[in-house]
Amino acid sequence: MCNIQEEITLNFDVKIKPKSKNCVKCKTAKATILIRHSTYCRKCFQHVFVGKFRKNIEKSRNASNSGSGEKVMIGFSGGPSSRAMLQLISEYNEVLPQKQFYSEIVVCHIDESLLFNNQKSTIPQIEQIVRKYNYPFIGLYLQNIYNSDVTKSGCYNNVIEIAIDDAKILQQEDSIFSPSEKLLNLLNNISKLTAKEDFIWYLKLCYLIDTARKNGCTRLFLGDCSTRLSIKIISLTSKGRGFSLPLETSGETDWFKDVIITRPMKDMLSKEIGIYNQFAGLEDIYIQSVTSMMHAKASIERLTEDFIVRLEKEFPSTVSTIARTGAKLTPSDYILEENRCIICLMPYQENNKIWQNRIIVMTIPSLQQSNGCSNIQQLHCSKNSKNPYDCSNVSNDESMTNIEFTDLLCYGCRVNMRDIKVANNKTILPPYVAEGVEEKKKKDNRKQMRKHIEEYLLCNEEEL
Amino acid sequence: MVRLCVICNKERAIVKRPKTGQQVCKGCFYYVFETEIHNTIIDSKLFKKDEKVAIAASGGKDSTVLAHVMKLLNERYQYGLELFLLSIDEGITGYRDDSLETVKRNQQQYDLPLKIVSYSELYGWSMDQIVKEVGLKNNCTFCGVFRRQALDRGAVMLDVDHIITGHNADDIAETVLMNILRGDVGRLQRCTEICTTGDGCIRRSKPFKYTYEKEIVMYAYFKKLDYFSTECIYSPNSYRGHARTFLKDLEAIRPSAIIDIIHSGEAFEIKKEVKLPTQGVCKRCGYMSSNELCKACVLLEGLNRGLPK
Ligand SMILES: [Zn+2]
Ligand SMILES: [Zn+2]
Ligand SMILES: [Zn+2]
Ligand SMILES: [Zn+2]
Repeated sequence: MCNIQEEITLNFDVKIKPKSKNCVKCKTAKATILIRHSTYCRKCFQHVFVGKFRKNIEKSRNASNSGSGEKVMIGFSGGPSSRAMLQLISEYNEVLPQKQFYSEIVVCHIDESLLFNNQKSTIPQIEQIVRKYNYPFIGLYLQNIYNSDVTKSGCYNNVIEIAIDDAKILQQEDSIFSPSEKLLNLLNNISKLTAKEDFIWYLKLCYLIDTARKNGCTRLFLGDCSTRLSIKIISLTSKGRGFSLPLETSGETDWFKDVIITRPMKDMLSKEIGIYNQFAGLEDIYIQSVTSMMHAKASIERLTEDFIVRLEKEFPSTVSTIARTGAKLTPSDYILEENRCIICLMPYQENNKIWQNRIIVMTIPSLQQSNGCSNIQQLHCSKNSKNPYDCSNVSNDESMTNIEFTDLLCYGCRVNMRDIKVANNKTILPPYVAEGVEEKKKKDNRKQMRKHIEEYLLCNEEEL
Repeated sequence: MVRLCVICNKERAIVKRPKTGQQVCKGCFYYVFETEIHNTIIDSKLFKKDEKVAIAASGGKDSTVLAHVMKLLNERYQYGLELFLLSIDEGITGYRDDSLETVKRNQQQYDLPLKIVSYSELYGWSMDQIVKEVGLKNNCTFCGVFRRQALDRGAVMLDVDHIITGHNADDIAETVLMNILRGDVGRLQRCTEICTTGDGCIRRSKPFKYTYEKEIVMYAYFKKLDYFSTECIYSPNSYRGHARTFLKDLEAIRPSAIIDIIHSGEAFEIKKEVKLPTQGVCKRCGYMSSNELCKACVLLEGLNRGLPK
């Protein structure tokens, strides 16, 4: 898994439970493990655990009906859940050695040690674990998201520079700033940890998907367990990402077209995973996050984690109820492939910016218009605003106004942009974002052209 | 050094807006506060011209400010609404008497007709009597269920088919979270709707849907509107209490979180194959209910059965 972090402490003492109780499954062996309200013996626990995993993975294989020969990638953070997933996938693929379900399994890890001063790279440790499985390993450094090859075309070297009143697309000059400096500058210019964590997560996700694509993998496994997913359901909701939530938490999604995302650990609690790893002797590694060791109110993600873990202790069905709620949600019919946020790559809703300006009024109408009417256009930008994303407005078209730029963002990313402070150090967004802007511009251009000549066209786009 | 209002750049800023963090003057605060409510009303086409609308008035801060703002917007933008105050007397000695006094004062201030319906009049039981009968344990259930119905009955007496309530953005965000935590997808989908219609023809709307609780208090404070603290003497159940604390913490981390949650809630769509409980009507009183008898009728039946002869 490559999620923010699996920090949930495992309460191992709960395993030791009333001595007289027998396992609910085999009814004969003495129970040693308590999961929610059921007691299991060790053997049955493992059986049930592995069974849940197999059920999920079979389901996704049947749905895609790819048969054998699929090349897949495991997103591997090194945390407990992705550690268990690596083991389970390899066991699953070796059931019938002559007929393997996946033709090739690649393991990918993204090192974030740059974000933590003088921390050693996590790659050597991870590589050691992966070596046991004999799978090809790809170790990436998060800062290399600024490389020109982490783009659709594979060689796109423009970036976006955020300034007070515009966002410029310009040629990337590696001589001035290294990728590490660019990433650190960007993150240092984000004043709030919530937005920072959000940025880091989506940069990782985009990097993983790009890497899977470039390596010909048609599937990316992520290790989100049910505890993590229920935390995500609440935190995504709290960050205004309800529209894309079903894509970001479901067992499987084809939103990225050629790379399907599968979460085979979605039905396992972090506690179960901890027990499984202990039994199987699987060692995980400690992965630091920007809010590690901080108090619960450091960020929305951190607060939500604290909230859910505490609630689950008091009401042991909290996680499963939230996960079930999330599973009943579906991507909207109004999701359009072309309305893809250029930063997080998630879908955005049309017109939500207008909505936002109506219910959060930041300005008063200028005098000549102040006849009490309720026109959207009258909401003007206050000129002295220090943050370029305080409000939106139609303004003169230069290279690209912030307005045009924010038009290509989802609601959640727009909320994040408010926390970017334009400082001396340049705020530069990676090439894949710039590429997304140009792509979108081209598409819009084509649409306009088409409109112009529509009445003369005798066939539709695809037939041309 | 005097801080200037970031909106008008003229007046002295006297408050930091909870919703946006902007430092604004009193006049600009009133303007944005009222305009956001007006925009909400217009964009959702909440009212028809010449409609009769009852304001559910409890004497608490939300409904007191609601009455004030509705009266003001109705005149400023010529909605052409005929407004009423509708109040419920649960029959709780001390607690309710004071808040009803507030409502009566509001009536005089705003010159709006007031209708008070009482539990004893509707159900033959006051809350004091119910508490005597069932003790302090379930009285919140009774009160909640009865109040909903009582408002509808009061509306019928006023010949009004639209009730507006003072539910604010915080209430709605909290309800979104609660419905996720409880796994109630049916309610999850409905709870962000600005206007809900029961089986009858009585609509219920929430003009304060996007209005922050803190700003409602701020508005009341600056406008010197007097209200009675109607915080129920019975604390919310522990689960809701957790959700409330969580929401307050979220708001402290990121003030827009309340609006962000509502935005998420509005975007949620339920899978078509998920079965939602079908809404029927109560056999006895005709009120919407997913069972044969509505909750109020069940509770009432229990009360009456246990009535000592
Ligand atoms: Zn057993
Ligand atoms: Zn986005
Ligand atoms: Zn002002
Ligand atoms: Zn009934």
